[in-house]
Amino acid sequence: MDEEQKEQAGEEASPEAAARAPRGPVVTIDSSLVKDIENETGVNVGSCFQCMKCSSGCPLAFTMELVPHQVMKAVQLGLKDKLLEANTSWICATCYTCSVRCPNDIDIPRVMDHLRQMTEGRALRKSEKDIKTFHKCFLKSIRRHGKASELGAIVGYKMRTGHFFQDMGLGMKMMSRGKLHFLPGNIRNKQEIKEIFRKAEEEEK
Amino acid sequence: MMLSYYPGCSLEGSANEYDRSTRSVFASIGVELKDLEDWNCCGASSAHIFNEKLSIDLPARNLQILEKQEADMLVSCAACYSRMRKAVKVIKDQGLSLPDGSTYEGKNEVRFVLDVLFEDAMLKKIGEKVAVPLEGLKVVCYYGCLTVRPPRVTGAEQYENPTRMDEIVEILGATACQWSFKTECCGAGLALARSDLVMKLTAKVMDMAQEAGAEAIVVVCPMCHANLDMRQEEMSQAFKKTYAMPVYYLTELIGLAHGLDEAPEWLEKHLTDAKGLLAGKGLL
Repeated sequence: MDEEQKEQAGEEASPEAAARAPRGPVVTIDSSLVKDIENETGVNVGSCFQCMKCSSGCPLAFTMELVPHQVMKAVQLGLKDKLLEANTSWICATCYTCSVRCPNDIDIPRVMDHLRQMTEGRALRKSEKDIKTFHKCFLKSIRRHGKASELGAIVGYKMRTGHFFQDMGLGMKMMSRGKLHFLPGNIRNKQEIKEIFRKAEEEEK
Repeated sequence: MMLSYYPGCSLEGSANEYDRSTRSVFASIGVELKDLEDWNCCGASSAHIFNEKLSIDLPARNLQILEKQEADMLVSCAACYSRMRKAVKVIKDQGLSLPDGSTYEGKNEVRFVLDVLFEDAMLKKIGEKVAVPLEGLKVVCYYGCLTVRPPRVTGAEQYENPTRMDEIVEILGATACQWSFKTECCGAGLALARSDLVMKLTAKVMDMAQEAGAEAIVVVCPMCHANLDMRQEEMSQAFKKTYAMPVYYLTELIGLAHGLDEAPEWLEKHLTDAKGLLAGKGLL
């Protein structure tokens, strides 16, 4: 009898057959995700052949739930939830070490930006949410003044995240050295900046 | 020679000593800086994280202003340089118009401070004006990420082992130690939200600097400076090891070597003492 017949007969499979059996969950590949991301970003995610150069050089890989090459694979397999639940895109510091070493010249940081935008509407863990909040405060300041008021952005960040007392000592040291100004400078043509924000938000929709 | 100067938000604020030393040094080598009229924030990391178009249009408004000038743009901040050059590339590659609808001709280039200083004529002037050679000062040159990566945006030819800062430092009489962490990330924009990660990364940078025999780190980026300079006390406590390594802006070192009177004032802005080391070597 061959292997299949043995299996059907309820007999134990041979070691060879056991080795061929799937270990762990079987993934149904959804290739719409990689196509969507490639179209929306222009990045050739499909070219990744898992050489791991990116993850090997990534300075923050040690704390990422999915390291860069795993992110590429997750995109290729269409594992959207796994992708967006991972802390990776928010931890990424956009240092470009990954893309400069990728033999296929994949713009991984661009994919990270896209993934961050895809997490919109999803609940984030506090530590990732704080990162997002910081950037939102920074952008808010730019929208209002045309330039980032560092103090404004920092105070806004502290208030929204509840980290009131963290870095107070540091803040005092910076202030005493004139490194943080109370009054933000406004650019003259603020309305041009508001217009830039408005158009950019419209295009996203 | 004249350049359109784009300080950026950090140099107006927390990295003010970088702005002042840039202005003084360029004056010292005979280059006139004219502030870019009504410049706006380049968007830094925050814009590209949320919106690709925003991340291009914010710096593009500055390119719009630059088009009307008669000089190239000088940028001292690595992030601003990166975003401005990225905007140039995307606008050219995709044939986009500037925010006011006009066409981008690219009449004037966007140039990074390190590259401008590395021009032959500039190097010569830097060398000629050295009044206080920084002899006995052993440093490592820290380029960080955005001064060199991505090379298609920055124009950097050497992005794994850049040497321009090292060469300038040597012209000033100091010793640029060889080390392997020239372009390792400092943690960048995670500075506030994940300072724990930033400290882990900057600790590695400083450990490597020490291993290389350096007494100080030289930078050309306000973010790198902040991350390296501002939390050394905290790091000493967290990692049970003394971190007390001064971090100088390249322009500060040039100013010091040129014997500029205002140079010591810049150092007073640092959080980690930057004067003691130099005073001890008779360089202040």
